[in-house]
Amino acid sequence: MSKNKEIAIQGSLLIITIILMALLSSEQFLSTYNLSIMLHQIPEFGIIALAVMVVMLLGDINLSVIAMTKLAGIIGGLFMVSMQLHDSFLAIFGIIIMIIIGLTCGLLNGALVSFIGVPAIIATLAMMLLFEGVALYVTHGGAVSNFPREFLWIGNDSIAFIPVPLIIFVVFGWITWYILKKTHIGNLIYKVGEDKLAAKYSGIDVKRVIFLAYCYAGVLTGVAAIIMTSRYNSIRADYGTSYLLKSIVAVILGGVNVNGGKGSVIGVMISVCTLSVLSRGLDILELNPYLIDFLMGLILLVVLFVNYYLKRDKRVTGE
Amino acid sequence: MNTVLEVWTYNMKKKHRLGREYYLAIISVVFVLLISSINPNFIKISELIDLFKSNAVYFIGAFGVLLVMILGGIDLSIGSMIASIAIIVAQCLKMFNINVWQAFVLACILGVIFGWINGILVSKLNVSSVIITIATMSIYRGMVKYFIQTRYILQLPEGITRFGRLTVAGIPIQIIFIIVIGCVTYFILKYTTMGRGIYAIGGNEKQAIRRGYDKHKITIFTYAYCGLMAGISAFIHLTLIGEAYIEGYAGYEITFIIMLVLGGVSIVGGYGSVKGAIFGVAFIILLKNGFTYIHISVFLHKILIAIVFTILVSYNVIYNKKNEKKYSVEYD
Repeated sequence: MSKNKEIAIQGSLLIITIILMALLSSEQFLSTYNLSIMLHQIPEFGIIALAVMVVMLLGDINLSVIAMTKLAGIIGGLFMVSMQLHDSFLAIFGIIIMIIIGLTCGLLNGALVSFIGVPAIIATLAMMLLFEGVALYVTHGGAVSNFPREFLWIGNDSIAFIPVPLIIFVVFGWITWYILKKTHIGNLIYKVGEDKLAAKYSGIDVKRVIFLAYCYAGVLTGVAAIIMTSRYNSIRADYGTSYLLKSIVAVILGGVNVNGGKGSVIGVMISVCTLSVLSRGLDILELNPYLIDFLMGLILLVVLFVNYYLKRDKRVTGE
Repeated sequence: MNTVLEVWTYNMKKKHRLGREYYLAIISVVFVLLISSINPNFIKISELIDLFKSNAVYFIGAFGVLLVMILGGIDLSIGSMIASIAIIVAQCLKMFNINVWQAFVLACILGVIFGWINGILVSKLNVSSVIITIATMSIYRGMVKYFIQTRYILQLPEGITRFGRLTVAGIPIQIIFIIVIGCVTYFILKYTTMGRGIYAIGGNEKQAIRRGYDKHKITIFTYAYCGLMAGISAFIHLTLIGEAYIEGYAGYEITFIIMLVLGGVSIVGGYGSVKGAIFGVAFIILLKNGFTYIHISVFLHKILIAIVFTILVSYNVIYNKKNEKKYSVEYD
């Protein structure tokens, strides 16, 4: 299947979902209020999905993204709450600290996976436990809240009717796309994802590529943390647990190959929108919230089934 | 002379390699002695039996995940299976007044069905088991939540908790369950074609298929067995607690993996044993309980376990790399 065709399918899926939700929930879904809520909701989830995607391109799975986001948010938030500085300085330092913490978490993951050689699932699992533990220890289970107004601007305001988080999401989507498609290292990520052994034998420094990919995922979680904390004006150690499944669903629905080496940023961004529209629509329909988790799991399985049959047809026709 | 020395060093090396499970047992013993030197109550036999009894769910669940991990997969849906089966069985106990044995059979059947679905999906779709079981994890829990429409089921009939208090020759019934199921798992892994097939497929899939092992059948059996263990765990949970909670056992799947990896089970498959699983589970239980005995803050438990786990796993990986460099086809 050509890439344009794939993106066309993604896009039509999104439009179908929007139309379906608009029909089912009458005018409420298309109201400006609802649209602005949706546009504010998409970015944090979308950036987490991008972080999952970068690692999945290597054929690995990063289970610790949510824990990384929470930890970055909590430490940055604690800094902003406890320091006595001018508000705008606090906001800037908070942002920097969140990104640095995200990067550090990614660094730890990357070092464990690439240099020590622990399988990705185990390494990210151990780190997830560690980050959650630290987040819990630092906050003692409570919430960190009341951030400076300058910081809240990021998550809640808009420039010319475009929400700021959405702008950040698009910018980071573009950066990710640029890194993956236009730079040497991005090219190497795809090659390593396709076949690690072949990549090694063709002279690629596989360890370095893996390490950098995890670091970049860490930076993305830091950015997600900024949006998340400023949107809710609070952060807790048990926020956002449902995002793990959702982001994996989004990445796979976006056409990323689970075994690595294939996938595009645009596909993931479109599927993030599709899922957000779907879950917002289900919220409006006042469906049982339990059913949403169930549906996400079901969607994941259906996508896997479809992928499986598409791949099988390809094998038969020898494409 | 030279050859004698060579044989001796070879044997020593071999012995050292066989010790993969035992180093954890040694660490556990050291840890227990350390804790009990601070707080002597920790080492009382009655306390220990009580500890293992109340953590029987971990042991039995771990036997199921053990098989899946030897096969080279991971079952992230086990916690969700335990919680949903416990809820369904509890509901049936309350509504239909079924007796304890009927509840046991029901839990087993439900477990096998859930596990069988996992197995079919993993074997059919040819996708990493992590992703499949993440999906089924939320499907099982979500489904049960939706149909039962309640979060707790409390005040179960007397019979099930009375069964939970039974003892055989002074040993609680839950520990009998652990021993019996441990023996059955050991037997399956060691002496049946199915068990050998699990090791073979986990070790080298292509070779195993060439040797004539039916991958499809073995995969389904493994996941169904894991489901069965989840069912029995759910039953044990009901006998211990006497109530069910739908959010219960969230995050347990990760604890299971940690326990088994510490117990020497290979994450890429092909290696692992029942005694390793028992050591791993016992280690984490003792660790958690020991922290409480020496008054370490609850908020620190997770961090400490994560650090211990990371260090042991990294050591294991580095050690294995040194030993098996010539067989390695990894990218390093």
